[in-house]
Amino acid sequence: MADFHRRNFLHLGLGGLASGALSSFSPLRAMARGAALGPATNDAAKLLIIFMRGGMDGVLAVIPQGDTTYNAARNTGPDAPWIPTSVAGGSGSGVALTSFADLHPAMNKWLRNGPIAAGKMAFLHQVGNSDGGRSHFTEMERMETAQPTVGAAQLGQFEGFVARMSTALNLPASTPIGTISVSGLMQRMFSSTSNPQFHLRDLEATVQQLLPSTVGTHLGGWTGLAGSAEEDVHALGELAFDAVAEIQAAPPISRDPNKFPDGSNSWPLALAPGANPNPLYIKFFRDLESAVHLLNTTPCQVAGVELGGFDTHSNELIPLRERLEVIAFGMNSVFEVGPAVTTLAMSEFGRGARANGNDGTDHGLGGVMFACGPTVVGTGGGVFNCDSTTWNFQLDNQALLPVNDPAWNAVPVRTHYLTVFDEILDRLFQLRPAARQQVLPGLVNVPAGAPATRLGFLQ
Amino acid sequence: MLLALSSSVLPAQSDADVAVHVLNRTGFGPTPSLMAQLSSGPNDVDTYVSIQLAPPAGLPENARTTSLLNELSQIIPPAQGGAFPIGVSPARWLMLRTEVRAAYGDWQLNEVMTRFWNQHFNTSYGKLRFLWGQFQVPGDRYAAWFVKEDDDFYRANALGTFAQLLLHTAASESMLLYLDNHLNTATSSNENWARELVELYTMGEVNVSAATPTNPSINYTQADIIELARCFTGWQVAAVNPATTPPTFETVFDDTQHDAGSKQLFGGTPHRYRVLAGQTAFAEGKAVLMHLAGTEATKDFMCRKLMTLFLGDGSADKYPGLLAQAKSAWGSVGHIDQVLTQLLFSPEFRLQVDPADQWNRVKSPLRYNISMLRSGESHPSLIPGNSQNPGNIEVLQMFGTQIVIELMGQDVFSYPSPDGYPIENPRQISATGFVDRLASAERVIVEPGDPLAALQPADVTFYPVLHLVGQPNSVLLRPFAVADVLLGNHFGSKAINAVDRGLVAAEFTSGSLPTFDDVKRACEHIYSFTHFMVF
Repeated sequence: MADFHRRNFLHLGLGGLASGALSSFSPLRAMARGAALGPATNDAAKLLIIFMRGGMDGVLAVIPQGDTTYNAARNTGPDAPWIPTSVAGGSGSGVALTSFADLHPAMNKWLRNGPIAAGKMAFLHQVGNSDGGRSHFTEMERMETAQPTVGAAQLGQFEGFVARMSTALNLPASTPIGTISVSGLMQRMFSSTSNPQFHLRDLEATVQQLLPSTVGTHLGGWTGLAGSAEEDVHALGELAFDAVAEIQAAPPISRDPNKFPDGSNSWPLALAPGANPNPLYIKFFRDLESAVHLLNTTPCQVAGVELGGFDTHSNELIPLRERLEVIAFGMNSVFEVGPAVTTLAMSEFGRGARANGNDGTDHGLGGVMFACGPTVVGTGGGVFNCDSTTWNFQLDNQALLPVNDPAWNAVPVRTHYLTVFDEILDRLFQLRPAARQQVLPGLVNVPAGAPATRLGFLQ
Repeated sequence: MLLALSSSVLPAQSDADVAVHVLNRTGFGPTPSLMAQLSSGPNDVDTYVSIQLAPPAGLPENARTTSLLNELSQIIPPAQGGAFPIGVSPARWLMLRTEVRAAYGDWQLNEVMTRFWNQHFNTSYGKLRFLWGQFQVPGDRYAAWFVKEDDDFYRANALGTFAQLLLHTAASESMLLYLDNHLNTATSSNENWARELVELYTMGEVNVSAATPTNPSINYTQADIIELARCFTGWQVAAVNPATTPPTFETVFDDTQHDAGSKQLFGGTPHRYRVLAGQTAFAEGKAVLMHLAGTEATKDFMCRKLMTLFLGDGSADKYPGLLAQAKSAWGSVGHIDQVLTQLLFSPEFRLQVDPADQWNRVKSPLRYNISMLRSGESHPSLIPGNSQNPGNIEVLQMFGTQIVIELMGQDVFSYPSPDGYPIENPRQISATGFVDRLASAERVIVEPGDPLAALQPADVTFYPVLHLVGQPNSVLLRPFAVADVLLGNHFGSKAINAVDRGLVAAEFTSGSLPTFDDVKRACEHIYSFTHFMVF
């Protein structure tokens, strides 16, 4: 472990702040935060975002068994039948959530007796960007910046929406770790140059590298060019030191491999190959455990983790099944150890309605989000937008639409993802409408009607 | 929004500023030797860049680099499917090949572009080792072999034509597996490769330069992707002698699996293209690739990316005239050397238009670590080794590989998504990345008593004193004067804040000549400065 004592780090206090401005964490600024927010925000709200990267196939996660064309759409190729419905039964079939919707058996295995039984698990179908394209990178950018209609030429110009949440909640006034991206690289939804958010690659490795007595700033009397790349780096350095100090002030993490498998003990997930589980899953569980620990023990209010590999263009069944099992196991563990935490799992889009010829699916539109938490409305199966009323199309027939129809071979978008985000900002964080509009500037452009109608998945 | 500056030429930056800028941008950072070589005047910089733009075939290297590469070559199995020596990770071996050339090689610009093409046409060793398993072969061996093949091709053709790079990528075994095109047949279409071909590798979603509020200049539609996928049906990976052990694979073009019907691509756009019926799988796909390589949309997309690489984020919008020159040099096949000639000899790149263009890029984890090695001209001595116990490779692993891959999240050959490791500033560093860099600065130089010293062969050398070679005693006896020499070699005439300057000077004793250890500790400070995290 690196010892920074001998690096003569300096704790410069006010003398080290070139502008002479108040420290970000002065009592005066904390008081100002309270006055600005008033009683209209929920300081106790805790949100954990899981981004399933690649376009998760919602049709197999929450199976519309009430759609009579499901078999025709998804039972092709050497692996047919894919996931039999609960009605068809048999090995590996879906498990009924409602009379219209089944849950993938790999998810049911870990969620049924916990959050589903408690009525705290919701499955939000047909959620997406009603103006969306089918490019990963464009749609991730649009989703993570809450700018669903931004042109490809303007990508990269906007803050992440979680960074804007931080501003709306005035979190920087009281803590440097109001939001944390726990991931290999900083997730886009957290990114901002004007209000940098904390990124944590590994809890123990990062925190241990800075000893409490050396916390301060090694960053000198800053004289760099305002607006320069170096100024951005400097700000990150300041944030790093302040954030680590805050984390070190909290109880240390005590990891539980039974809740968040690390490969050291018996691997609980049946579908990970033998004694060598995919390192991606180990990384995901480690990040998830770090995130819920920080949400439980520090002022952090929003944490984000991610899992990739959902871009299943070929031989989809096994990789999807493994990942859904990992997600479900993880969400159940969070439900158990983080009772105050609301978890939202999402993906940039769903996948094609009809399978392709390689036992896979191509990019689609509407997908499924998973929500779990103390105020989630999960009674009656907790399924939204997947019933005889709202599923007003036929899966296999989507491939018969004209190719340039936006919904060609895709699950359509019934509820815009910004509507889901807005419900969270309102019901969970109790942000006022003006503040929510700041966080989600694209909300005004959501088409009227179903896309803008809240699902009511939060109390 | 950046405003386009006038093209008036400002007074030239100092020779040292231009030298450090050129060495930073056209390579992986300045060395004391190169700073001395290039700081004499603009002609020296011009000569250096000209030489870098035209490396000799085979990229002959200096003796030390050649020796290290030879040692690495002893580790690679002689044929596909061969086992790596026990204890040698194929992923780390791939990384070391890059590190050796980036840290010690003479052909810096070529290596920068090799990295660029690897990232631009990204495949992931981490994913490929699982994908090769579908052929019932050891995935890690085959994945490493074919990733190596691609890396070698990009290196040999880094300054060649975009068209040849694109054709190689489309037909590479790694890419065919990575983006599922080897499953794409006339009866079972798979659009994965086709989508990324136009979105990431050639035109991009929109022609940014042509886009207006009323014309978004969309380059392709979903229908185009479906048609494009048809063009590449029958491009597959197959075992050419499956009975042998281990089997050998190569790309084949199976006309029986090819959809040879006519196609209409990109209708309604300036790059619309009609594919005639009856072509073979290879001929049809190649023709489409050659067409894509020469479209205005591809020129715009790629030249913007190259300008970001060499001049920084937003530079294409800031210097539209230079972008136009680069696109003109591209031609119909993408003459990379000519595009780079336009960029690297431009007054914009040479800081004659806006000096603030210097230091406006944030170092990636790889670049940060390599630039430390280059700063000190560190060289492991030639330690005898063999295929089972490589000597120098262990040293290099200690210096670089472990740090970059394990600490900072830039897994050079295993970036998980097709868009490749990003080059834009905001993606290079985060708060945790800042802490990781401080740890790297600690690790690159070991001191007596440091636990890492036990791992380090005694004759590994680090030459920071080269910074001071030739300085008169009047300078060497004054701590702040010594500090200024060191800082100047790293940062030219960049203003260094008083605190940082003081930290460096504090390592030297007034009236005494600097020792090797004094300079080493001073450099350790330098590597932890935010000044060193940008270039």
